[in-house]
Amino acid sequence: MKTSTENLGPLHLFSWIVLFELGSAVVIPIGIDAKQASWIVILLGCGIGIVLMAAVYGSLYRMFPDLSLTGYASRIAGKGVGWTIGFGYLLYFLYIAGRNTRDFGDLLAASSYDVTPVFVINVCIVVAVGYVLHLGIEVFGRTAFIFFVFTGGLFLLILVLVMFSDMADARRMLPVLPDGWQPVRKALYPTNVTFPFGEMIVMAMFFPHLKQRWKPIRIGIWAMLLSAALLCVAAFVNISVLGIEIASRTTFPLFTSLSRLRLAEFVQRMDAVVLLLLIISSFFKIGTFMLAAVLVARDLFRTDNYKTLIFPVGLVVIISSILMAGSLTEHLEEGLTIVPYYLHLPFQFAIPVALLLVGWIRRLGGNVSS
Amino acid sequence: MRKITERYERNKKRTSDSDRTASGSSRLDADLNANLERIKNELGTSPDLVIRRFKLRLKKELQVAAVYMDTLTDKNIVNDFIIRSLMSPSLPEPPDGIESPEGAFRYVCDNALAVGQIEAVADWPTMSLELLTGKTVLLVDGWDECICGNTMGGERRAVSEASTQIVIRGPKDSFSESVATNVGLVRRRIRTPDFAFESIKIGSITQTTVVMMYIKNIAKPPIIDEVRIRLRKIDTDAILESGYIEEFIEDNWLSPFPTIYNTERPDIVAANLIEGRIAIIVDGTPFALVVPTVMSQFFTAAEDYYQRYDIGSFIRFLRYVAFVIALFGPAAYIALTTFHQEMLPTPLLINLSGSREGVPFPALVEAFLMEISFEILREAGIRMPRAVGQAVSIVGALVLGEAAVQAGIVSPIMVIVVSITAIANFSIPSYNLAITARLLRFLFMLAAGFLGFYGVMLGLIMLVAHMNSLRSFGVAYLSPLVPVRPEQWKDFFIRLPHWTVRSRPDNVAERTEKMPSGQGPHIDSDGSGNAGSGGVKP
Repeated sequence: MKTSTENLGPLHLFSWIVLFELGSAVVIPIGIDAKQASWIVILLGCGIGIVLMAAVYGSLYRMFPDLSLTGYASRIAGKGVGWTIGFGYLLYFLYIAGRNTRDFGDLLAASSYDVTPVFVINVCIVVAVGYVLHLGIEVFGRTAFIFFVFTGGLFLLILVLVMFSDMADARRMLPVLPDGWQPVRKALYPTNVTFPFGEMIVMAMFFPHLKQRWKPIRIGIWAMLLSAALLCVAAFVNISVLGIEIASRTTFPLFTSLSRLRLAEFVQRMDAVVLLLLIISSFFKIGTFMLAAVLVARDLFRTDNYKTLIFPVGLVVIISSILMAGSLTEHLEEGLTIVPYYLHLPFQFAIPVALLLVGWIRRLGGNVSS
Repeated sequence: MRKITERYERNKKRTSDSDRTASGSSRLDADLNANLERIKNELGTSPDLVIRRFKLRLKKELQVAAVYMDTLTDKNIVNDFIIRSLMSPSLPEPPDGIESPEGAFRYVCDNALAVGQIEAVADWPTMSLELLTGKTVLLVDGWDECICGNTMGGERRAVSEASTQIVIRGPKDSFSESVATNVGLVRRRIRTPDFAFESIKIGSITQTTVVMMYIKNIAKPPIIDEVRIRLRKIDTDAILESGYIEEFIEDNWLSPFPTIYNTERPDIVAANLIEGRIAIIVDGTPFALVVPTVMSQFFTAAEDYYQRYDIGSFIRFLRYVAFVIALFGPAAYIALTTFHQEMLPTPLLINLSGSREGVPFPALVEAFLMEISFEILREAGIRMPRAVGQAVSIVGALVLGEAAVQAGIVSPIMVIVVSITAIANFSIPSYNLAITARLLRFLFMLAAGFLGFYGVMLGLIMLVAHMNSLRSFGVAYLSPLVPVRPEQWKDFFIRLPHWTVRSRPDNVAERTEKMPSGQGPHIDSDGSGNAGSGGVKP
């Protein structure tokens, strides 16, 4: 797992994580069940994610700074069990990549490509992701940086629009907690502790690629804070422009709110901005999971050149993205009721915590050397 | 055919019979006549070969012959400095031992030639190469060495004004086809003993002189080594233009982006050398190569540095905008009209669909039609003789403009889009990047035609990733944007005043400091002058 040829710069990792966290979360309203308190849900989700990151993933990383997730899984749990855990992560990452692809295809089809088949949309993005992954991890990070700057510009544009058009009314954000803490807790568990901030587990595959002397955990935490702030901005825009009633009912509130904003009779229909945000962030999210799957597969099956694995992994992602659910309703239902309990919670919380505990115990016994 | 072959075989046998006497060893013969015979045989019946035999009257009479190629030499030098000086009566007193051929040879070598650069050569291939590069070979009877005097000259174009990189303010000279002239033009601008040249000959048939220039202590030694290695590795028959070299040494031949900069302006070469880059000058072409190259160089014109910084910055920024328009102009039009009509403000949308009413093609076909006919027109305009070129542009303007719209084949807005795209493309200062934009534009049009902004965006992400993967001699193509080097942003999208740019790019140059940190603009002694400009110490 020690690759000296491909190095991520700190800024590149930072922008990568931000784009990754924004992926599809920026368009799908997060915690909108909690109404005006959705920003609290986002911040709490981020807080839990940061604690998890610092305490569990961070400790594991500090224990084995040169190893990725699969690397230390087999170091801690032994060859056989470790391999099985790694294989589980391979399936998990593949599934989540497929899920995100499906999400993206459905979102795009629903927002402006109603006559284009979802399959075509999915194939195109996976091919594009495959090409970029083929160019390597370093290039992926550098590309993320450029589009991070681009995304920042788009967010700035949104903010300017909201501030200078009279459509937005900040009083719509009140009351802060319309129905007390109960809806917040409900929105938080299990959906929003795991999505999007719990998905940081995938970054454990890339930390060893960061350039020496930079601390990936610290970078990750700052990036999570920034993306939480950006998601809060999106929530604020939605609720202040649309009001909570419309915002909680539309499928993609950011599209709706930006299509309403207008400035000086000339700047209007800015929902294209959201389309660009959606494409960019989803691209990097799908790319991240596919790359993680490729790297896990490389470690498990001992391939020298991970680039040969991009094609099979991409193929699996495309096919599973189409076959995983018969309809959009089924897809969303699975995502809300099954995936968080049976996939997210074990793979984001249970297994890493177990690995950390076993690692500590074995280190006390002096069996594991980093 | 058989007859011809038989005749050829017969002739070949005859010539090889006569060759046998002359050729053989790779050294010169001591006998003058044998040498001359061999030269005549090897160079055949070349009409410009001149053999001038004369007698040198030292203490003893000596047979001497001057051999040169008429077309490659400067006749004045040959006559004045070689033949006349040998025959002049005012030669210094011949020393002892002059009677022997060797003594005579040394005497001529040391005293009797008035030409700047001479060397003694005993090797036959070297001698014939020297002869073919325009030197005059002096053979002395009875001695197996010859003297090669530098008399290079002949017909060549004078230094003229640059034709591809034109400036309003700035030096007007440009490179010509002669490597010596070109080196001189750069040398005249950089007067440091650290200025280093390395010359190699590439091309088994053309034996083209390729000169690599850099400034020691500023250019990075690993990059110098890399350039040297790549140049030495070239093994081909002919180098006729620096483009040949470029294709042999560039990093990624599959990329549409140029990773080696070329220029015909000596001031640009000098500026790049001072930044720590390496220039490669090829004999026979006015275009020099500069490595390592980053993308922003293609948006830089020499004039940015000669005009004041605010003007320079504005114009440079404009070029980046133009590049984006040249890439995405028609693609955006296609995407908007076929996929995202809802994104346009209603009045504009009505206007657009009104003008497109009656156009029988989808926007993609319409755009392709216009873009392709424009590209053909442009190509026709470039290669045509100047007199015909005018006719081309008149016909083109008619075809692309009024007529096509009135016939209802394309919409007037399409004409506007194509024209703006074309003009934006012309404003990219380097031709080879402009061609890249032209090629990629068609890909983006296809992407927009099939998937709208989604396709364009995917294409853009792939394009940026591709550009990120490019390197030119180890230097990232998109630097200083990625990897981020903020200290280089003073001369990137915009150009700040010269006194703010205190360092050279550290990924290119070994020694980066350009000026002391106290250097700043002029300030009046009472301090009232340029208040507010930073970095100034009293």
